[in-house]
Amino acid sequence: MSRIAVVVFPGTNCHLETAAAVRAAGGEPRLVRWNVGYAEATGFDGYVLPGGFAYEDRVRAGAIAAKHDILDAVAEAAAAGRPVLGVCNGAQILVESGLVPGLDPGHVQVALAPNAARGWSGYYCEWIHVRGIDTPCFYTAAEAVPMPIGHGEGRFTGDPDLFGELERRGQVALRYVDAEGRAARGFPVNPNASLGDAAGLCNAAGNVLALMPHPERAAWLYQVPEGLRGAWGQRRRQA
Amino acid sequence: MSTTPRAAALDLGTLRGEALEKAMRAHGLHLSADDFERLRALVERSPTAAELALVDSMWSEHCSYKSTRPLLRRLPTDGPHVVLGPGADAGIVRLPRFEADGGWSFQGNPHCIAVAHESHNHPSQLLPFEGASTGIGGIVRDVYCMGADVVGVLDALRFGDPDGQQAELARQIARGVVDGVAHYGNALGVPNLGGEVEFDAAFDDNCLVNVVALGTLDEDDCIPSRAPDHAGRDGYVMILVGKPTDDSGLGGAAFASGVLDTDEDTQERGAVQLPDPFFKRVLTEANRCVIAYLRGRQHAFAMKDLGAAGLGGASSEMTGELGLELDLDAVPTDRPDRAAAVILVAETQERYVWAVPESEAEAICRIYEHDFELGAMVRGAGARVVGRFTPDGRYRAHHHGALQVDLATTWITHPQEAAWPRRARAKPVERAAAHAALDARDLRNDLLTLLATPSAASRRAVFGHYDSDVQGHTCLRPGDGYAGVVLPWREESTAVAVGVAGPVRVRRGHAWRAGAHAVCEAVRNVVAVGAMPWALTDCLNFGSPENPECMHDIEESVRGLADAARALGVHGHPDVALPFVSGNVSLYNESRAGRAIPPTPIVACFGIAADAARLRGTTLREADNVLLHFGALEPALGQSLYAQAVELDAVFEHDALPTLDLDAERKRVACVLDAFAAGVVQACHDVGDGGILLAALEMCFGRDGSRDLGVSLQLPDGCGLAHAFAESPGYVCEVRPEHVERFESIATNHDVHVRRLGTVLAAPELHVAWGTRRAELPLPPLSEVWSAGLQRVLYEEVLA
Repeated sequence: MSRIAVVVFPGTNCHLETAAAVRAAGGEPRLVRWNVGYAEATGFDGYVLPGGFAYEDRVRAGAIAAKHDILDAVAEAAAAGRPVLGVCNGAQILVESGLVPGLDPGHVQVALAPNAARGWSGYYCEWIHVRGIDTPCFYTAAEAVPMPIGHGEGRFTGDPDLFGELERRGQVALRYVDAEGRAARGFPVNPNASLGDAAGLCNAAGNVLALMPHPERAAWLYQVPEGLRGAWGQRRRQA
Repeated sequence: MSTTPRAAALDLGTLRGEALEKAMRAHGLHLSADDFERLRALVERSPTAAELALVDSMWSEHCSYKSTRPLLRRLPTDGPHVVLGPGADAGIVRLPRFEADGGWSFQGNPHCIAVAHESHNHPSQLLPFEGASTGIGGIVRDVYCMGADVVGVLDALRFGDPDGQQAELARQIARGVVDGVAHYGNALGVPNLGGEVEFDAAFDDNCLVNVVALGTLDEDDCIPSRAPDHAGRDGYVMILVGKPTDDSGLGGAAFASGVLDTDEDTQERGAVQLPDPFFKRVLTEANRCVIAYLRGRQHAFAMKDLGAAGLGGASSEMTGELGLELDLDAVPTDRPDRAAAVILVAETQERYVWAVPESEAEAICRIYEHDFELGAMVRGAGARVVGRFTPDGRYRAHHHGALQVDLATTWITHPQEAAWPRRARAKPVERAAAHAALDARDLRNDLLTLLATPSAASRRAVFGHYDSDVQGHTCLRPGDGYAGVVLPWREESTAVAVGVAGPVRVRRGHAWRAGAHAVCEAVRNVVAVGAMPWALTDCLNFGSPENPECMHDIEESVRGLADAARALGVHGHPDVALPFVSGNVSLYNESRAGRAIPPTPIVACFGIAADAARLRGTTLREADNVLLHFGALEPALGQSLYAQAVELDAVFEHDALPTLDLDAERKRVACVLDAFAAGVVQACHDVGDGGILLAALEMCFGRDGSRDLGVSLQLPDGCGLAHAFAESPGYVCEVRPEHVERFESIATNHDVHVRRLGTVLAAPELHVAWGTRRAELPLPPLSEVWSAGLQRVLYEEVLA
């Protein structure tokens, strides 16, 4: 069974349900506190950086946690091709650490900026759909898959040329789509005005994924809203 | 230690009566002259500044319930499933044990819920963001300190009219409160399960922010908030953990017991506490480890959160009938020069106290300070031993080598009831006039107006700011139904539902009704998703108890709460009242000009279901299904949202109020629950604001107005639009055609009359037929105004 580290920073608040989802997926989760030291933090088969507000989003969301030495253990696993998933605040940490998109190792290349959709201001909690094919990422979704978002700073942005490059390489692993899987045309399908409708970016090898929506909140059918459009909403209503 | 010199008395000369009160106010004390004299008589000397500060808070209405305590005894608070009733920080109720055959019993389930309900009305009116935020912060602490995990919060909000005379203020407060609720809950990581957001000019000067927290724990894991009886003999110490004490929230409890005065607002802003959900998150993780550690060591211990009256409040209540030697010099403070009175009663947030054996103190402080680095999260934060329990019943606080407080512990925690004789006087009851005839009105226009009204419009504009999915166990979220539902035990199918409700538009002289209505509506919210009502909490939001008419309203409302809780009872056990297991009283909700809020008892109902898969929200499921309605159909539009929205002022003021029949209410509850148990309910909406028409429309709209089903309604003979907009309590259920007969027979068993109201259409349309008239309206224009109604008044700039 894969031993998966679920890293807990001060302010992380999604570690318990993330651990439950890891277990349900067949992994053996272990909560790893930020200050346990390298020896205890290294050597896992995979790492999940869960959601929350690490270090209170001081400076920028994810910025302080990304500088913590526990990220050395995560970077080591990433370099070795082991899976690393950052969800929401975890995605912000991966981006701030330079592991995603990782084309220029050690440098921050993209940002997760404040939501800027016309039609909503500030933090936004809503169910959206994502889809991702033609990507090297370890996680793909051929059909539209529903997940909730819950963030104030989830808009992937950066140099448009770089984003073009990421799209060509398939590193825009998951995009916001409507319930039928069609491309977004602005809000509400793209909930935060993310560039390229990006919901998740991965590194070039595809083993490190920075994902803004929360898959651990969409792992069981009861979590899916009754009124959701699309096949999964229908499945919930028929359950 | 008692040989320490006593600190000097606060110099108030020989003042008496009003002059004394004025002098005390200059020292930031709201104590009455009578209470001052009572204290002086108890101590047989002139009290010190620290003693006065402590008693000022602890004897305030907010902490002591002195004018309502005798009244609150009239509420049912007990039951075979109640583990801990009112009086503790949170109430604790055992879940039913479900049997394979669908039956259940009161005993035998180790799982419990811990529930708490409070108000943060006064602070939110002055500083909406901080006030609402610390409201959430305080209520979750009440549940955490019982040893529970907090699995959800809800809030019941009342704001002023966003299009009225103080529109800008009302909007500003509403935005600030919503931001504050979101800020705290989202960062802490507790899902918001919804609640109420209502607007009315009656709340222009006093917004209401009621907060409710739901926690889970096993009965054996319940942590007492009183130090063990042997703590005084066995060398127990008190540990204070959390942020360094500053002067925020100074006198917050006393402040919450006074009338808001705009001239003094600036001063009183200092009485609002400062929220820190980030620190609370870290503290919560650390507490989990400390609790696990202490359980492993098999010691008796106690834990309590610091709320009203700060360290002085929590430490004296924890001490109970024991004694305590409290060393204020050991309390970490933000500045070295904090006075004893400030250290004692400041309401600095994010703090707890523990009663533990001295031998464990070092290990506990190490978990906080080393493992969780509290000092690195907030400068000066940490865990320190600040006191030692004694058997002598004396509460003593030392600071700078002087004895600052020397009181019997019970003097602090048990003030005399009703400091002055509270008189109640009945208000004249306003009688209803004739019913209105509405059939000449344009249904489409009226619906467009009603749906755009902030109190009727979609709540997405508010709920979208709240994280309702964190923790991953939310099963019905805000907007899916009127109760939030969670599945807190991951491996089990048991669901907990919670709804919160209270009156908004109360007719003068109808305070009993306000109380009964609050219970019935909260119960309906829970029943409509299919959960069995199991326990209640309440918060009484009223004006000044010194006003006899207002006192009468309080008495009548409490009677209404009690009557309804007894009449409805636990499903299948008519002899067991729904127990009020926790609650709060918020008085003096009036402006200096004497404008009081209407009687607003707010009730939360907690319901249980054996199998979450059987629960249903309000969203329609399938075309050709049948809509059944049961409840009174009467043209009673008095105080209705419809009459207010379309400005039928005479109807609003004088038309009859809907029937409130507790016996019929009980029968309907039983009918719905049995129908859910039989699996014949596809969706259910209780009838309230906007009547059966708004209920049916919301069932079409679903959570975001984007569904593509509609409804065709046929009002029964003799019924018109007034019947359809009347808020007569009842339910609308969506039922498959093949289940209608089964549903009807269940209803007959409970002596409930069910009528076929209509069918579900495959297209987004509303068809209504009444008498010889008929209207067919496309839904998209209606759902558009419904979706945008609240966004428009709160976040206009985003739509621009």
